This record gives sequence, C-alpha cells and structure tokens, in this order.
Amino acid sequence: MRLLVLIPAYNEAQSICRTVEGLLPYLRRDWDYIVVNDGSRDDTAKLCREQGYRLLDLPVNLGLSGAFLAGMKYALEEGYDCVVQFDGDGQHRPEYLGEMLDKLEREKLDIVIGSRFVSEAKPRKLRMLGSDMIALAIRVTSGRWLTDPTSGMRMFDRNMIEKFCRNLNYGPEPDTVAYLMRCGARVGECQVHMDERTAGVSYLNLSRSIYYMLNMMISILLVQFVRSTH
Amino acid sequence: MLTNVLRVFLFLASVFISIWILRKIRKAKAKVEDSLFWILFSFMLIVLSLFPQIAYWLSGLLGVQSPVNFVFLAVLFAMILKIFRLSIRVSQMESKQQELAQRYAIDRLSESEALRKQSKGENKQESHEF
Repeated sequence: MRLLVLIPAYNEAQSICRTVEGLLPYLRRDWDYIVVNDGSRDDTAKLCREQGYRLLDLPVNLGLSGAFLAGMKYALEEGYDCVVQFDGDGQHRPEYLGEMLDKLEREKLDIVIGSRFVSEAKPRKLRMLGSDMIALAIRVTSGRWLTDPTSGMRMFDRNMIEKFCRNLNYGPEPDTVAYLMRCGARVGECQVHMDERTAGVSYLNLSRSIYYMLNMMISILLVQFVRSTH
Repeated sequence: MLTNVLRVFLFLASVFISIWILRKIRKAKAKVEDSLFWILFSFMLIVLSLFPQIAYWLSGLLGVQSPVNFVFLAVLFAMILKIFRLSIRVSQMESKQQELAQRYAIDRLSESEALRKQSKGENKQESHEF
C-alpha cells in the first residue's frame, strides 16, 4: 500500500525538522511524506527547502482544512492508496503508523483513527469534556462510540481521498468523520500514544474552543442529518 | 406590544431561513461554518416568537419603549455584526487573491528566465564544440 504521510504545518519552524527527522526512519519502502506549509509567517518553508524535504508550499494561509485538502489533492493526483494526517508539532508518534495501516488493510477499513483511549482510560479533565460531548453527538447520529473523536491522527483510504477532493464540507474534523460513518464508511480505532506538543502554542484558546464546540455540535447533530448520504 | 401576527410572521420567517440554509448545505453549496450564524439567528427568532416574554423582559431592562422595537433592534444589531464580519472577510480574501496573482506572475517570470538561461548555456556549449 502506498501511504502518504501528510504533515500540515503552520508556523512550525521550531518543530518541523524534528518531526520529519523522527518520521523518516519509520517510512516503509513505498511510503512517502509531504509537508504542506500553510503560508507560515516564520521560517517553516525555508527550513524545509534547506533540508530538502518534500514540500507543498502554499503562498497564502488557507487554514488547516485548506492545507489538508491541498495534500489530499496531491495524493489523489499522484495515485496514493492511503493518506494519514500527521501533526507538524511532534504530538503524533510515527511508530504507530505501521500498526494503523496494517489494521486498515487487514480489516478492510476506510478510516483508521489513532486513538489515545481504546485500551487506556480517558483522563477526567476539562478538555476531555469536549471530546466526550462530540463522542456523544456522534453516537446519537451514527450509532457508534468513538473513543477519541478529536484525535488528529487519521488514516484515509483511496475512496475517502476521492470524497475529500470532490466535495465541499469535507474537512479534517470530527463532523466529517461522523458524516462519513453515516454514509457507511468503515471506521476503526487503533491505540496510540501522543506526546504533549513540544513547541509553539495550541490553536485552541477558550473562546475558540467554545466556538469550535458549538460549530461541531451543530454540525454533527443538526447539519449532518440534512446532508444527503450518498 | 408583540402582536400575534408579528409572532407568526417571525416564526415562519425563521423556519423559512433554516430550511433554506439547510437545503444549501444539502446541495453542498454552503459551508457548514457559514451556516452556523444563520441557524443561531433563526433559532433566536423562533425563541422570541414563541416566548415573547423574553422581549418584554429585555426591553424593560434596556429601557426600550416597545418590545417590538427591541426585536427590530436585535435583528438590526445581528445584521450589523454579520456585515462587519463579512466585510473583514472580503478584505482578507482580496489581499489573499492579490498575493496569489502576484506570486503566480513572479513564479512564471522566474521560470521562463531560468529556461532562457538554460537554453543560452546549451547554445554556448554547442558553439564551443563546433
């Protein structure tokens, strides 16, 4: 299976080199990676060029969704079988990619989510409340529990890549996963560990978190119902 | 006073807005994030038409003479906010579009210059050989 590891990077100059260097030893023979620089204002693109990393350099900032979709389009055109979303800030660990891909192949899944809580308990923290609420909303609409719906480590097969590229409203967010599940996509979860982010600041502060939650809840509970499921 | 006719009108209008925006999403013509405002807006109108007491209470609180004026004010305020945010988005889009066009033109020029240099270099080599 030709896998593309898709690394969206926005102002990740401090961690992008470590992320890519950490990833390289784990790449199997027919795997590739690509860094999508989302119009960063720091040296992300320059560093990648100096190091000779494979880089998709967006001239303007499109947001995570736009950067992710740029990578998806590249994967579609280059004929990759699978794409995995991989954080540029060093949260995701590359040693689990093989396991995720094996699971996808073995169980003939469309999506594999790298979940922190398949076999391990969820810590009772405030930010896990949001994760629980989204999980509940997904349970209500699609009939299935996801243990870690907000995990950004998601692997998609060829069918999913095509769907992402050809339609509006497909972003790398839990509501898309919920919608795809309603459309009959087979989703599996694979236990992974994640590190705390090593550099930079999280995109989500309090007001953004509230907006994000509101957006996700309305999107999953209300909007997904009216979207046609084929 | 919020007359019953106005309440029915508010209710129907907000239901109509909701159905319209949800249909746009169904046909993949609108982004989910953009629909958020309209869904909340029509939800607010539905609540106001079903429970006019809220309008009475708030107009008393804000010193608005008639509750119906409060409803108009609220709608107006929501529209001004939306227009303001839209105008910011238009500015951002314009600057991004400008940047894209400039980058495209610069890249094409440097590409063609690189090509010209390359072909000149080849010509020189050939003339040395002969």
